[in-house]
Amino acid sequence: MARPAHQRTHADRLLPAALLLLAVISFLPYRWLRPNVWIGDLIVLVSAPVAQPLRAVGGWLAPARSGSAEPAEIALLRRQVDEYKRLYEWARSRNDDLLKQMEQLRLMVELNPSVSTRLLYAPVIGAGSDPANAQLLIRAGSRQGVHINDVVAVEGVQLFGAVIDAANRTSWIRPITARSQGYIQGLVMIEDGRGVTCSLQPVGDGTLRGDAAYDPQDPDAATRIAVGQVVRLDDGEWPASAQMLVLGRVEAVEPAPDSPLRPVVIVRPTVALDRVTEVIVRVSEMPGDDASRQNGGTP
Amino acid sequence: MNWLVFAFVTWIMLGLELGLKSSLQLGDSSIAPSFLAIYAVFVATAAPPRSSQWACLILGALIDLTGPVPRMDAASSFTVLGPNALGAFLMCQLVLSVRGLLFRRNPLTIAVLAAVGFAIWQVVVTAVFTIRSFTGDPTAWSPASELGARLGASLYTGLLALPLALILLMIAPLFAFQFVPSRYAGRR
Repeated sequence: MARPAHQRTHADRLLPAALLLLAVISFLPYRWLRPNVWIGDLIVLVSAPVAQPLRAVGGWLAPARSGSAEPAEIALLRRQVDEYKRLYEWARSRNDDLLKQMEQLRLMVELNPSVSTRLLYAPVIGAGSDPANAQLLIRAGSRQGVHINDVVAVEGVQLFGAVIDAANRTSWIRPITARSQGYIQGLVMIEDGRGVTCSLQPVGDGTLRGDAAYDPQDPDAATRIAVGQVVRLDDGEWPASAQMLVLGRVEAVEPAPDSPLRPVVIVRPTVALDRVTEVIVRVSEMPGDDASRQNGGTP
Repeated sequence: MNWLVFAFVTWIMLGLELGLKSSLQLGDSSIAPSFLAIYAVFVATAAPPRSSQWACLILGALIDLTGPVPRMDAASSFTVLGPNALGAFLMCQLVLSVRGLLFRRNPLTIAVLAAVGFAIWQVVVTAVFTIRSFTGDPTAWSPASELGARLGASLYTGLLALPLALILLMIAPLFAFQFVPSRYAGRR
């Protein structure tokens, strides 16, 4: 039979409280458990007069071996060595990535040396819910100087698209392959630096498709378009800093059903734009340097 | 129960735990017996229920406080107070519930209870640290291997309990255990 409540001692009442306290402390974050270490050190110190001689006896009974059965301190140090090795490998890999990024940035600067832009590396942190438009969210916003219509590139010279909305810390960017992008004027680089103008439109499957223009001064130019040729941006609607960035490579050339002299080109970006993890935003240093901005144009 | 004697023997047992445990490891494994667990079982078999519970809590807390957990992300460790204390309390409850059916002054009884009780104790410890590892503790915690090693340690503890129980039973009168079943406690 249980003891009546009025006969309960302090110890009876204290035990549930102690259990509850221990249960709470068991799950406290490790950062808050510093006092436990001090108390533990004190207890070890108090037990040292017994533990120390016994440890010596234990060492005599079972001497330390050169195998993996090593003292806890050595095992801890060994684990830390392994952890630092892992950190070293991670740092080396990161260093390689940064060198690659620097090379890409150098390529971008070389492409448009006269345009005053600042290159901002931004990680992609999310994507829009509509897969057809494939808008991406990047961790760079107006605090970093990003504005609407700033040009976004990937892997150096591949045009990604443009900033369509800039918040304080984040921005939405739209790829050139999004259906909502509309027409883009490009140049298929055929040979000797010459290009054939084409008007491309996103299809929705990650490619751009459009007719190559007929040039009366060079009527054969359109016929020299071939698979694998690079297509660059040449569109007055886009900022100057975006001109001549790569739209992609010709994936297929088809004859236009109604006009045999104007072949249809299908262009695929050199990287899958909906799967990029980092982009380079070309932030304009002077907001008025782009004609399109002055005219209120939208890429 | 004479708490002064309990404190003194606890001091000795803690010394054994800290000084001899690593020497008694089985080969390269982390399987090692626990002196404090055997002592906790001994107290739980003989002391009054409330004293047993407090004693087990204290012994469990001592194991917690003297067993820092190494961190993987820095050259330091942290100490979690609670898992062993709660495990010891659960072990105590097990012993209290079955001790009326057993020959408590038999070393074999203490050995069997030590093996079974310490296994339950270690299940609690493993569960707590597993939950903690899910919440972001920087430890290399592997629940399956930890549980395996700890259950092995339970069997080893049961084996060690045989000779140790003989000594503890010899000095048992010093503890002045006066077990009063709870149904009579209210009449005192």
